[in-house]
Amino acid sequence: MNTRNGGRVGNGLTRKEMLAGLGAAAAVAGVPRPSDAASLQELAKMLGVDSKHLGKGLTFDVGCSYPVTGPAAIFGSHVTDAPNMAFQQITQMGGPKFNIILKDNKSGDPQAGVQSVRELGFAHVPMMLTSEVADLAAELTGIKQYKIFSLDGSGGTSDFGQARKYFWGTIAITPDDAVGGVVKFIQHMWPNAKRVASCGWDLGGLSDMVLDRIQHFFDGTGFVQAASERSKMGATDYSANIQKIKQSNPDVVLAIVYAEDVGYFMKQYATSGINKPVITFTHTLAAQQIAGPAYEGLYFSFDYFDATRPPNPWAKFFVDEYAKNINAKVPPDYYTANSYEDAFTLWQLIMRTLKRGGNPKNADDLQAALISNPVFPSLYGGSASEVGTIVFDPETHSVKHRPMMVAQFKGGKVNQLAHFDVGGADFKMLQ
Amino acid sequence: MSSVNFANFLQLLADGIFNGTAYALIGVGFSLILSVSGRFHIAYAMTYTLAAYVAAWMGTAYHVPFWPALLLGALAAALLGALMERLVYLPLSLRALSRGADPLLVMFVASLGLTVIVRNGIALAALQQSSVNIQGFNNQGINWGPITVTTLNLTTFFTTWGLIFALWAVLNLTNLGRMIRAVRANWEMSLCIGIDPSLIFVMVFVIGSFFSGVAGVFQATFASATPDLGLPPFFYALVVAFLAGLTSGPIRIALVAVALGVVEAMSTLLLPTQFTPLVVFAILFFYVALRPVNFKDLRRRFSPKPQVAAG
Repeated sequence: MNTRNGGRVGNGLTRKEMLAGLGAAAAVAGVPRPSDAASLQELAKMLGVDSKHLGKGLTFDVGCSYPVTGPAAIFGSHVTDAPNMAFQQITQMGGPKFNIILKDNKSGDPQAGVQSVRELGFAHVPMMLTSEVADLAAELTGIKQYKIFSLDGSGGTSDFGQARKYFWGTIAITPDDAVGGVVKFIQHMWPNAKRVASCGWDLGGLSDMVLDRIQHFFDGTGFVQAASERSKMGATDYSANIQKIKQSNPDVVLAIVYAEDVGYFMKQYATSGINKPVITFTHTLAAQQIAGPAYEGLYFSFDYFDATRPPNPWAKFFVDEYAKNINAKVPPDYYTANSYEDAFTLWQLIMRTLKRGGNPKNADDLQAALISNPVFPSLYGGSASEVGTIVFDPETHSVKHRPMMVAQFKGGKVNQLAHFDVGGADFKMLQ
Repeated sequence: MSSVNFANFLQLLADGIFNGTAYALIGVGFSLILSVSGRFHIAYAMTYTLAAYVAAWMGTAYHVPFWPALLLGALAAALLGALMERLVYLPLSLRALSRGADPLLVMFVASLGLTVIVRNGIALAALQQSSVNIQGFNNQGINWGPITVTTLNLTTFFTTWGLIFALWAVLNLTNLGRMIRAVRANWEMSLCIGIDPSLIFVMVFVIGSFFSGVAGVFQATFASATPDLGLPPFFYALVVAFLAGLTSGPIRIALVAVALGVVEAMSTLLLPTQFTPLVVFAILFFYVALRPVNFKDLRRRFSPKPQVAAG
C-alpha cells in the first residue's frame, strides 16, 4: 500500500477515507468494521491485558457450534457477528488471529452436534464457542475425546454438563441459579402465593433434575409445585399445557421454556383466562415479537444483559461498538453479549497459558490456566468505572458468581426489580 | 392425572371442538384431493405453510388487514396446489402410466420432494426471521361461565363450518360438484360423458389447497408462521381422511375431525399433555388394523390399465 503522499492511496483517497469506505461496505455485508485504535487501547487497559503475552503472530481455529437453523435459531447466519467482532478487536489489540469455523447444531439436534464436534476434532481445532449446553449434551463426549476446550455462553453447564472435561459454562444455570432469587421475589411480591405451576421443555430425565432443583429451593418455604407440565422443545402450541396449568389453580406460573417458545407460551397464556403472574428465565426480542401485546407484564429472571443500561465501561464499549460496527437493527442481547465475552475469555486464557509456559493450542493447558485463576473480566456487574468479573467454579465448571436479576417487561421496556447472586444470595429489591 | 370436575370437562370439550374444527378444514381438503385425484399429496403441508407466510407478509409489509390477507394467503395456496398438480403430478403420472408403472408410488415420492423443496424455499426466503406473525387479528379471551374461549376460536369455527357447508353445496347442488363426484366414482367413465378429469383434478387441488391455506392462516394467527407449520397438521388431515372414509361427504369428515379433537382433548385427563398426539395415531393404528385401507382399490380406481393409457 502506498503510504506516501500524505497517506493518500491510489486515486487520491486517504487511508482514513478508504478504511471508512471499506468499513461501511463491510457493515453492509455483515462483517464487523475495524474498531477505533484509541478505544481499543483504552479497552486493553480496562481488561488488564498482559502486553508480554498477547499471542501476537499466532493463529487459532475456533469452532462455533450455534443454532443457525431450527427453532432456536434466533440470529441464523448472523450468530457469529459478535465473536467475529471480538476476535477482530483482539487482533487489532496485538493479539492472535482467529478463524471461526461455524457449525450448525440445528437447535438441539444431537446428531448435528455430534457431527460438528467430530468434524472440529478431525480438523484438530483446539477451542470452541458452543451453545445450548453443548447441544443438549450431545457434544460433550466429542469435546473430551478430541480435546476441544469449550465455552457455552447460551446454556451454561445446566445440571447435566457439570464437571465435564474441557467444557465450561459461562452463563448462570437456568432455572437453577435463578430459582433461589425467584422464590425470594415471589415471597416479597405476593406473600400469599403458595401454588407454583410450571411448564418446561420435555428433556426426559434432565427435566426431572430441573424439577428436583426447583423443589430444593421450595423446601421449607411452603411453596408447592401445583403442576409441572412438559412441552416439546420448539413447540408452538401450548393450549393443552396451559389448560392443565389452569386446572391446577396456581398463584404463580414458571415458564421454563426458552428462545421463541416463551413468545408462543405467552401469546396463548394471555387468552387462557388465567390472570396469574408468569416468570420465565429468558428474554429475547424474538419471543417478544411473537407474543406481541401478550408479552406485557412478563417477569423474567437470569443473568440478563441490559444493553440500554450497560453496567460497566467494557459493556458500554461493547454496546457502542456493536451498534457502530454490526449491521444489526436491534441492540445486542445476552446471547450476543455472552458470545462476545466468551471470545475475550478465550484470549485471556491464551495469554495466561503463554505466561505459564504452556501451549495455548492444548486443551489441558487452557483448562489448567483457568483452574489456576478462575476470575475473568466480564460485561456483567462492575461499576461505571470498573469492569465486572465472572468467577468460575473449578468443581462444577459453572459460574460461581454472576450478577442476576428479576425484571419485568412493562411499558415496552425492561424494568429491573431485584438483584441477586447465584442461588439467590445477596437478594435485594430495587423498588 | 388431572382432577375431573364439570368445569374442567366443559373446558376440555370446548377445546376439543375447536381443535377438531381446525382439523376438519384440512381433513376435508386433503380428503377431497386424495379421493378424486388419487394423489397422496404430502405437499399439502406446504400449501398450508405458504398461505400463512403470504398472509403474514401482506400484513407486515403492506399493512393489509387480516381478512384480505387471509384471502390472499389462501389464494396463493390454491395457486400453488394447482401448479403442483399441473406441472408435477400430472406429467409424472402420465409418464409412469405410459411406461406401465404404478403412479401411486411416483406421486408419493414426487410429493415428498415438493415438500422438501417448498419447505426449504420458505426457510431460505425467511432466513432473517424463523417465525413471522399474522397482523391485524385481535385475539381476546372470552369467559363463558366456567370456560374460556377466544375470539380466534370462534372465528375459526364459523369460517370453517361456513366453508364446509359451502363445499357440501358445491358438491351436491352444482354441475361442478356433479363432475367432481363423477370423476371420484370412475374417472374413465367420466371421460365418456365429456368430463376432462385432468381439469377436475386441478379444481380439487384448488379447492383443497384453498382450505389448507385458510387453516394455515388461522394456525399462524394462533402461533406464528414457521417453515414447519404445516407438517403436524398434515398428519391430522391424513388421520381424519382415513377415519371418515375417503369418499365421505365434507360434513361427515368434519364431524369425525371434531370427534377426534374431543377425544384428543379428553385424553389429557389420563395422559401427560405431550403424549396426547399419540392418542390420535393410536386411533388410526387400530382403525387401519381393524379395517385396512384398500390400496388395491385406490390403485384400481386411479391408475387405468397401462394398455388403456398407452392406447
